[in-house]
Amino acid sequence: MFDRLSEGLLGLFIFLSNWFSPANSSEEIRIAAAKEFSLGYSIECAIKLDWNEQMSDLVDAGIPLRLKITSYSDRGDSLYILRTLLCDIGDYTYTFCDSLGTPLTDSVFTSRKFSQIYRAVREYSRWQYHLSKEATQFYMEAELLPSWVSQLDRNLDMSAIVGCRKFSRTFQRKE
Amino acid sequence: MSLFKKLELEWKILLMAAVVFIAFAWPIQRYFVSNLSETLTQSIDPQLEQLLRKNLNNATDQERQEVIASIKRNRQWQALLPIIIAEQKQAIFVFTCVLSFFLLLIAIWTLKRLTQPLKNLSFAVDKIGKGTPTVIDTSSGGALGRLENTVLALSNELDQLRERARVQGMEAAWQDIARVMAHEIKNPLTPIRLSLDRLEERTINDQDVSSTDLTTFVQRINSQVDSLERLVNQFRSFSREPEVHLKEINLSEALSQVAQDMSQSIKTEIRCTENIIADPYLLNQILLNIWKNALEAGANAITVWCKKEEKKITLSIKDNGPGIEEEKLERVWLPYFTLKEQGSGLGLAVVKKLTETMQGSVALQSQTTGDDHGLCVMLTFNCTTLGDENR
Repeated sequence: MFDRLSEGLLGLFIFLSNWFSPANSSEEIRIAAAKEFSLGYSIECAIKLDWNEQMSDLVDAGIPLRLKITSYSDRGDSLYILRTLLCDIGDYTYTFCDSLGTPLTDSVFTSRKFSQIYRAVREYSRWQYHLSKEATQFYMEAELLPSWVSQLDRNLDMSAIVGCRKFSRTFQRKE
Repeated sequence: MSLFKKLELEWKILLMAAVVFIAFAWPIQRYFVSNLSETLTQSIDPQLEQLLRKNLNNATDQERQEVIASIKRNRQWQALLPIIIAEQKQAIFVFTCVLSFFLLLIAIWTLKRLTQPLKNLSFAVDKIGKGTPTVIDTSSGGALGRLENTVLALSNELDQLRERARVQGMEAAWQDIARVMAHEIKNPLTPIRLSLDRLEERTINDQDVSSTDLTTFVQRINSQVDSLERLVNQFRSFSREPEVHLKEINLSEALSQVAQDMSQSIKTEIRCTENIIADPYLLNQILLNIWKNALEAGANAITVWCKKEEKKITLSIKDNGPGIEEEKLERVWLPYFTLKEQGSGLGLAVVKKLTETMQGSVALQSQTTGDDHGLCVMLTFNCTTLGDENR
């Protein structure tokens, strides 16, 4: 009974956060799902990448798609991920790896292999963020970084093809 | 089209150049870019990856890495091709814009240099037309130099003609003055001569001259001598530069004095209480001339009123005489121009001269028909106090 009530409150909190939080970019970050734990909340965030055929061609050509994810709250819950989507040209699969900016033992996370790029991109554009219960507001930002085209020895600004460089949003808790 | 006609020559040329640039440069740029795109697209071999993959299964690790690197290179080149073409398009566009901008600057500079002498010449001709002294630069070469020399010659010739006209005008003016003066002096001389002849005749014939007749003769001669004296005074007041002693004067008092002096001949209505800055003696002269002018024109009533505007006061003096025709209004300021049988032609000329001497101005309004006929003399004076002027 209490669990259901708290889940309902969490749902209301997220809804209100979505409703009232000021957006500072036309491309926003949304909260895809949220779960409550004893110490806080686990929030699944997502961005909508405007994927197109040209992006697929670029990733298929072995050009990495790099995303810098930054989150922090007013209670010091911070997150820094450098996420890279890669295509294995040898076996036609896609993986993404996270370089976590926290002093963890295993600070690099590698996803499973995806055979379809769209599934890989779907997972690529979602991440988890742990928020303490006392937090009243938190900020999230995802920024597309320039990619290195190894065989042609040049940089490529992927944001020009996606149409947006930065996704950001501030969430505020409404009591 | 009319706007194009109004444009300066250099802007017309620049506008035409811009039209030509858009008409030719844009298609040329598109042609080069499409050619580049075609050439680059043809450089991709669609079979290459398939051929490389055939040997991938049997290859060693090193060979496999090399083959994958080749496939990657091929794919990257293929994927980046549209981006590279877009970048090239952008680069060509930016280059064209920068080049056009510099060409435009050069064109403006060149055209300015070309058209500046023409503009200078145009300004010089304008000045020559207005009679203002001007310097014509004749340093340009070719046809422009010849044009400059011709304009300079014309300017010199015009100066000579102007000087000749000025001398002739002065001679004519002096002739007019002499003629009018002779006529004006001759008019009173005739009755004097006649009176003296009558007296002489009676004396020669031993006829008695009664005291009544003598008085009549003397009065007649005196009257004509007065006329001559008045003529000489008018001429002197017009010809000499009067000394001006400005002070604050109450117009009502000044006007009342003149109106009283002339009250037997002209009825005056004064609606003015303002103060002005003027010379009392000169102002009296001006007012006397205006009253006399009205009287000689046949007026028997004068109305005076004032209008104050910021630091100026306009004094309007309107008589009920016949007025002056519109086309003759400007000429009344000329010395010795008169429309009256008894006029000297100096009255209004003196009014103008004395008013301007006191930093004032004078204008006329005339109505020759209707009940409101008459001449209105409008004198404008400063009304600022002397203390304010000094501050």
